[in-house]
Amino acid sequence: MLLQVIVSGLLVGVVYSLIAVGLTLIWGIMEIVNFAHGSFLMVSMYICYFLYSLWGLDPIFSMPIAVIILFFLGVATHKAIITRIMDAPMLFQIFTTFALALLINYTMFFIATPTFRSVKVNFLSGSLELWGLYLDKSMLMTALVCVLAFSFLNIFLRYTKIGKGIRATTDNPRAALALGVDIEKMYAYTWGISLGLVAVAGAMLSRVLYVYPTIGDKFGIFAFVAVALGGFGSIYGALLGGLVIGVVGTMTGVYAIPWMKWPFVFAIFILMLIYKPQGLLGWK
Amino acid sequence: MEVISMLQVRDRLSSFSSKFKLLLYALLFLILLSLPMLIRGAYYRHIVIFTLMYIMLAQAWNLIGGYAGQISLGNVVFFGIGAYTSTILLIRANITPWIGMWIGGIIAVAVSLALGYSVFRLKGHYFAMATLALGEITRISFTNWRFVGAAQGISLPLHIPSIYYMEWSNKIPYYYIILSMTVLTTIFVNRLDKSRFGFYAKAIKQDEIAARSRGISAFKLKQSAFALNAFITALAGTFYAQYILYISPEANLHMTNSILIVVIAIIGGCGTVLGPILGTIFVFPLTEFLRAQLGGQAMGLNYILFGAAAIFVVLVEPRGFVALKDRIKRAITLIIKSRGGIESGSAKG
Repeated sequence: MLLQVIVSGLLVGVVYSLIAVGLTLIWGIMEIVNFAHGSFLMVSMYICYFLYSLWGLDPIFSMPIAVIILFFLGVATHKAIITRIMDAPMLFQIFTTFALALLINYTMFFIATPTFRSVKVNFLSGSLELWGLYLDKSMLMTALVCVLAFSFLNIFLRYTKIGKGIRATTDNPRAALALGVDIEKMYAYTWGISLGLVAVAGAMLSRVLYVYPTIGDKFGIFAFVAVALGGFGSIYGALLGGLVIGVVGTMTGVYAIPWMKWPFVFAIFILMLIYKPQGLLGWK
Repeated sequence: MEVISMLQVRDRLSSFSSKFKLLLYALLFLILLSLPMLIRGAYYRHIVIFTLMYIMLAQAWNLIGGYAGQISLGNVVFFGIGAYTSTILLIRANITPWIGMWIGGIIAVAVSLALGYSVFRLKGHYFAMATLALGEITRISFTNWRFVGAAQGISLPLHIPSIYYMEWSNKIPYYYIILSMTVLTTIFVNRLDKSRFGFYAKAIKQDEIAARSRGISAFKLKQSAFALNAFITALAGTFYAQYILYISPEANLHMTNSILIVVIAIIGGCGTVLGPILGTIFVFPLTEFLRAQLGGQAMGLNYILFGAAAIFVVLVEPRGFVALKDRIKRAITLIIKSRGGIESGSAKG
């Protein structure tokens, strides 16, 4: 039973991790926390829902479309808004991305109404038994895709030219600039990639969860907590933080009262801030 | 050529403006006192009462957001604590809300200090996210907590109108209560603005490390600003519960309430006494108007407008509405200066 709970928690946790990685990438390179992160997740879920209701497309196949749209949305957000607040006080940076979240959430509220929508697909549904564990096939698939996306990101950052540029800018923007890295471009790419990752998570989540305009808020907060647990700016930290939240959340859901999940995760977050504010794998 | 100097202009302006200000305050005071006689409809009175309440809330937020420079996205928690504490004390123990509001305030202060203790040593986004999360957690917990009425909320029992129960059958007593609360809050913030607190806050905002090296404790300042914010917001919460006589997690603990306060303060211009007042007068009646005109759809539309306006304000004029005052002042100075210049010039000719 315990193993079952832990495995289920890990499957959920991987999704949190993937969302958190986007957040940590942006923080790492430009020290801005994107409070609209969850809202972009919601947008991706709606894109998949709309494509499903138009052509009956399974979100697995509409995922590339969502990724491309959100990539450009990320670049556009950076160019239109973020470049202007890069040097602003933190108060305004927080407030701007938060206002952006408001704008996105309620525009979607206006377009799609607050009705709960769901995508019903037959492909890969039901559960399967594996070494005595019962696993939901959709959830397994979701986790698998997230792990794949995570590995792709790792390879991308490690071996491609843009990936190296992003890492150099994260380490030291001025030195990178001196060495001929177009850091402005790297910022834009980071925003695009960050939202692309969110799009992957959103597409997969739209298969298992109801879609409604404020669903992103919860994931945005969880992603932030995951990043804080793992340590700001650390990619593996985000992965670890997401997994911890997934397992802890599922365990409280099973062994205590389901709604206690939130206060419990929050309590861990606060304790972490008091005793180890740099996070489990933090740099500073 | 005798050109009037900048200093003389300023002298003229300030003597003019200090007399003018006195007159303006007196007039404003009279208008505020006689407003219930001027405004007859219950709906319009309701809007005036809520506008005053939001001025008070935005003014409280101004302390933590404007002066201490920390974005609190969870003020709804303190509002809820104020509303729920006094209500539960009234229902279960028959304690008058006049006492209950102070108890609510103290609980709110305790919560704010505990949260502040854990996050104020860290960068600002921890605080913003922690308050946001605390708000959501409180809403979810209260929705499931039987003792506080769970999702249904609590309807306050109707009593014979009396001061003890803070219940009246018409809106006028409520108007004077919220008026005095708001005016006192504003005077208080004004005093703080000119006190050591205000100077420290400005110093920290400009350069926290420099301020700290001069012995100013940023942590203490943030803690006290947050505690004051919590206390005032909780008082407003009690007022709300007594005025509406119904509280529920969905109506009072929802994130949108916190957001409204923040948007008002930022659009008005935070870190100034006048900002929240201007912001509320501009934003809140507009919200009500939109809601009355458009019905259910407006809920979304409101926040689209808020989001867009807020981003616009930050990108174009981060000081908010208050900056308009400076611009007008500058324009007047220019006009007087040019007139003075011409007069002296023509006298010579």
